[in-house]
Amino acid sequence: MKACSKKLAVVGCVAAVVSGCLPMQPEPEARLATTTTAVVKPLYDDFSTSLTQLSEHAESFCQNPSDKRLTEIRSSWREAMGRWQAAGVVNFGPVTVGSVAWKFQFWPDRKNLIRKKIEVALDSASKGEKEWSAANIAKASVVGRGLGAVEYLVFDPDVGSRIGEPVRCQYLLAVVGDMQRNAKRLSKGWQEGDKRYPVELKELATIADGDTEEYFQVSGLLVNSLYAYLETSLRKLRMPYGKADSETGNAYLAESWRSQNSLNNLRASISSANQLYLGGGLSEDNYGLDDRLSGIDPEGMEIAKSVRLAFKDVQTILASDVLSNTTLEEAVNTPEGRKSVSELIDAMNNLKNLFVGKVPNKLGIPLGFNSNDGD
Amino acid sequence: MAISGVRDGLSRREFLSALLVSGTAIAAGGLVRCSAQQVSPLLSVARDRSGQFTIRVFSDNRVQQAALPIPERAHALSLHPVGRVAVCHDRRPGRRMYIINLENRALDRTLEAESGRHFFGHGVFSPDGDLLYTTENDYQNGQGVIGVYRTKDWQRVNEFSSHGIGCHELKLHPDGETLIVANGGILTHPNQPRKKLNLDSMTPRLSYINRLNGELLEERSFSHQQGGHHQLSIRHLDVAGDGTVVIGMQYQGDKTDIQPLVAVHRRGQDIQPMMAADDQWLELSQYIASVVCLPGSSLAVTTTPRGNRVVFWDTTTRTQLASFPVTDVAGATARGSNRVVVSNGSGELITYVVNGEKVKEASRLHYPDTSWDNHMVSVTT
Repeated sequence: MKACSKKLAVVGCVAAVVSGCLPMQPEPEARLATTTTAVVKPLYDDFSTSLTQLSEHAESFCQNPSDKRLTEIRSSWREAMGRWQAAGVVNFGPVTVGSVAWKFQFWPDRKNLIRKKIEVALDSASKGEKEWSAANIAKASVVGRGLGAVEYLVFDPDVGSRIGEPVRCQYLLAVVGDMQRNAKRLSKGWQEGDKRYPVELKELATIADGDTEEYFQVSGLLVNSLYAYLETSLRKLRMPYGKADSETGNAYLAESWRSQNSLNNLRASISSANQLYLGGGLSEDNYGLDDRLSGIDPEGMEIAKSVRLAFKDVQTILASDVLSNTTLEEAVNTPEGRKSVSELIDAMNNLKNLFVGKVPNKLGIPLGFNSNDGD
Repeated sequence: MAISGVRDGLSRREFLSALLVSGTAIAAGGLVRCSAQQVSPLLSVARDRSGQFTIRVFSDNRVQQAALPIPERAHALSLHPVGRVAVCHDRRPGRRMYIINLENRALDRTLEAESGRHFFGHGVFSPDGDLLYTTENDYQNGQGVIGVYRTKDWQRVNEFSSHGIGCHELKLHPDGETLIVANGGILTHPNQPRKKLNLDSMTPRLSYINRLNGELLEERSFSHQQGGHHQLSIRHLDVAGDGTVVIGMQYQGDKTDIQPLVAVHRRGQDIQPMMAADDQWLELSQYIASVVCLPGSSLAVTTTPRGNRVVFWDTTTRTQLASFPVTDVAGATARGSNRVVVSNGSGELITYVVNGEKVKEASRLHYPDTSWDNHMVSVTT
């Protein structure tokens, strides 16, 4: 059904050219703005909800610590981390205000700064110098906040079992409370209404009076966002994998090595990136960059097909038996695992390259001209 | 080359406005809109979708411009103080310098770097416009030098040491006699054009040099003790009317090392970092592209294309006044004491207006099929 709608779009495009109109009218960008809001808003809502659950589990544990309740915290952390990974693909709108992404996740942490920062903070609490709360931790360094801080507190192999200690619990509740507040702000920013981001996004799709140029701002935001996210995701694989000719990698450079959750993070990232690209999915009602490209010309349709296949390749490798039965932290240190991770890196690289070259070129979107300059 | 302040009874400003009104001209891809508009021009290098680089003389008011093709990507532009001449400087390790005649919107000539030298991308004129100073690499000896050109005939008449490695942007101090040079500290060689050869041992410096005899008057490093780091490459700067220098740095270490990328310096004092929260530094992605001081105010603006951010700073309190997300933003120039225009790789020109402690976006103009390059200058500020 979706293929049919794409064919119609191309016919419409050709007809527009024959009739002397520009091949691209504002409408596709406006549709893209609408479907982007429809895709993104639930990402933040779900993230916020997952933090509420994490908060409830943390409070329950801190009131009456037990192994069962600790397991619940860990499980809800994995859920929240997955939701954040899904929302992290959005690199525009409210998340760009107040450097909020850093408040949810400090990464990479090559120097184990999270541990150092948190232990100093806990030490001051132990001495009675500081009582941590969501309000005062909001003024502290982002290094000791966010999902990485919670992961350290409840998963760290050396200190995770000490989370029942009052100062650690107090710090945990402060960190989770801080995240809840920030997530609610993001979620609210994507609600419909005056002065909210969906209105702004729609305005970006509107071409100014008398302006006949092709300026696809919504497409530009999406392509820039997907490119940046895929590049970061690729880095999250390459860092623990290390050199191709090495027999071992460095598990401590994996994104969530303490929880062994890094592959799950990637699964959530790729799934979300794919949904954003498709405008919600392959049903005819959805409209994403996929449709946008297909609507330009037959070459655009081919590029869209390449992107769909590239996403599928990545997801197939992520769902393979080898990677389904291991963690990234283990995989980078076994021959079979390294082979799969290497294939995954190649597939991710292929996908990312489409968002560096063919996709922005077809849409006429300049990408990274100054950010890659280096002068 | 005769350079004077007025021509045929026109003031410099009127003359340049007329330049753009009639400046229908070139227009890569027929981009010009033919509406007369009295505006003072901006200059920047740009790339179009075909990969062609041009020097653009353009407006931030409406899409109207002249475009002068050049063979490769360049970097910054310097304006002659009288205003009828601009110089476009090649990007490292380029060897060309383009002399632009603003009167007829044409490339007057192209200069080649001296043997054994290449340009680093920036230059500045003497107050009377008789001399042009450029940052250059003496790559055989791995030393930065300042090339001195006589603008009357564009002969290279002198050079002196930049007193450091990898000099990049330079500005003229309000005293008219002192060059302020950002010695980035990074050793490069044209045989490995984009490779940085000394990241472990680099020692960036901010250097004050007598422009007449090359004497080093003062130099400052931004050490660990002062809250800095030896891998903070001092690359871009601007100077306020009272001599306060604002520097923008690029950090060569890890992505999540928290380093102050913007700082101020006043003669005789240590370099002092701006104050910002850890996440505010992190979101700048270790990279500052342009620094602009607003004339007659204590404000400065920095851009970061890697962090996609424009930040307004108060140089007196050394704090952030405002911060705006802008994709791939790099160029920045003041348009008076309370107005700043920034440019980006998407072809946008965004104007911000400062009112007291509030900054707001006033307008946004898009040039089609245009990626604005790293730096932009305004003929009248």
